[in-house]
Amino acid sequence: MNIDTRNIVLDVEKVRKTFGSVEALGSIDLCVSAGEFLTILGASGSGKTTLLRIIAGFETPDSGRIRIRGADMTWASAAERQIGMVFQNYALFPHLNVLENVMFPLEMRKVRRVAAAERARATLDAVHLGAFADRYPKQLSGGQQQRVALARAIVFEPSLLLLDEPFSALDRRLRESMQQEIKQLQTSLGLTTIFITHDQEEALVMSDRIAVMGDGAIQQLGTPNEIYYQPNSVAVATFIGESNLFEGAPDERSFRATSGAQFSLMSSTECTRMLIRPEAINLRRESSAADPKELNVFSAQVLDRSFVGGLNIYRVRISEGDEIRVHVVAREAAVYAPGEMLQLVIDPADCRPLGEKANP
Amino acid sequence: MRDALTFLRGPRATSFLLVIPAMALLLLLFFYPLVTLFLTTLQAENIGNYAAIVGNGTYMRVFLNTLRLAAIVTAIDLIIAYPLAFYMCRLTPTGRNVAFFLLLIPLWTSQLVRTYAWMVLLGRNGPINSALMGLGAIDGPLPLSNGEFAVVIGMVHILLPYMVLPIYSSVSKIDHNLVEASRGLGAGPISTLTRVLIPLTLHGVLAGVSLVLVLSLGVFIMPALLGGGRVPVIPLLIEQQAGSFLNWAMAGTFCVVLLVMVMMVFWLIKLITRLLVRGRIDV
Repeated sequence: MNIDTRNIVLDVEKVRKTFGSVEALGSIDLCVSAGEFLTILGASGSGKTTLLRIIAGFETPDSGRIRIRGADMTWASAAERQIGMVFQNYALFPHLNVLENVMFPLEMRKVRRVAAAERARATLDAVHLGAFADRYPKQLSGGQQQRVALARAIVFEPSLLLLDEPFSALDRRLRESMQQEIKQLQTSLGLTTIFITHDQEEALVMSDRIAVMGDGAIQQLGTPNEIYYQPNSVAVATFIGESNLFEGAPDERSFRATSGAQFSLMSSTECTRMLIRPEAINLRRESSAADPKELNVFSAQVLDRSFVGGLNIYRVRISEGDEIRVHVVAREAAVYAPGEMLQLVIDPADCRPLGEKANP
Repeated sequence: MRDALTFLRGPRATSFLLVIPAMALLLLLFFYPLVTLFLTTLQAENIGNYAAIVGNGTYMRVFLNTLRLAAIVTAIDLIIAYPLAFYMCRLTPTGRNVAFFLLLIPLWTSQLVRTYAWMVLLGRNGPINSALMGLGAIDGPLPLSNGEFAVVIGMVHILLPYMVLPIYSSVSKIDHNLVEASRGLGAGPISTLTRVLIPLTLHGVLAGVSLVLVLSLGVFIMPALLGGGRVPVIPLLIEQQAGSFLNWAMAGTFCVVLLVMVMMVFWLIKLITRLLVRGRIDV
């Protein structure tokens, strides 16, 4: 991805942080350009919260720089950084009503009261809360509180919007509609956004780019497609999506798993691990007219099936002995009973060698 | 056993039985004497006492002095307690236990003992004066004891926990994210204090203020022992009427006046609370 340097809003350069003897972040580099929606995805303990707190100005790095719109903000206070932040629990001021909450950042910027109220009302309208201006936070539902938090974070037109796991307290249905709404608002206002989450689905749905964090480092940075289809390590592959992992050895343009199963690849590789996504695998009843040129055809026995609505999830064992998970779109014709013998076909393009990093 | 528990926890009518002993005790030992006292001061031969008190300039000055002393003590306690409560919230659990222990020691020791301790400490030849003179800071001993200074110090000391505890309770309920949100939204330390922290702790402050004000209106031992006769307050007047002049009716009238003052302070603070504490704060 080529980045126009004039458009860089946030530039994180070699940021390190240790707490006592524990290294929370080991030299993070990250650029976010204007209007971009970047997700920092990681499990708890991956360092994503520390990175967020350093960007927001609640924590200072041991070394490295934070630049916002070209200005060095490494030592600037949170107030000086012009960052709008939505906290995980929203952090609305309980003693202020909705309008006053949204006016708060404007007041702190010495905007005159009348003008501030006008802007706050306009922003509340944008998040569909115009009618709730006089309520107190405790009188609102979780989704409404979140909209207030969002309005408060964007009303002063910050250079950067930080969202810290904002959906974790919402139920599934509400979460999906809030995701859509925030994404729409972000696109229409051109908000440069950093979104912190541990939920891979959220990350895939919303992001322009995803930074997968683990062990205090960015494991992989790329578009949702790159992260999903071309994970650069076992850690990323297993964190995002379901995966069948094989260990083995490369063998010219194929990969020989330890069980003996041989998978044809698109090109030669030196990797010792291979990933096949469960939904990239086809199952079919054995046909007499099999194409002899077809690659990666295995005979497989169904071990069990779980039906989750849109998908049938099968566990099958190929004749070489490997157990493989297969996701099949739940057409009625593709319902197979446990014990049934099937053909399992994988396109060589879907067999992904995994470049494993030095550490196991 | 189980039946007994269901019986005790059961419908309101039966669980009401649980408060009866406490209610009976309060009615018998507190409410009944109070009403009797009030009615006695209203009897024909005693009702003139009210006029005598209001018409007497000396008494009125004592009333004002009592209020002034209470206000000074409350203000000093507030200034000490507010930052202290924030500090205690930031301590580790062990540190907090130690702090609470130190804070509560005054409540566990006798007021009389502590007052005598202050008499010794502040005395003409006490450790404070000796130390200051030893350092050459002063030539002769300072008149620390036997005056308002000593009374204020003693009262501030005794009443401090009553100020710290309610404020601590309100501070400990503040979500730390609110402070970060405030800073992140552009507020400096002063704005965060005045716009977020003070409004969110106001109910605790007002609770502490009302407790300390009311308690300091009724303090007797400090003015009596540390005041050296120079700090006239209502409780001393009551003691004088009852103890020296054996004028029990007059002492009762003073009691009623003191009670009315306390009730007015409570009412005033309740009014202020209703005006100032806004929003839905979990108290």
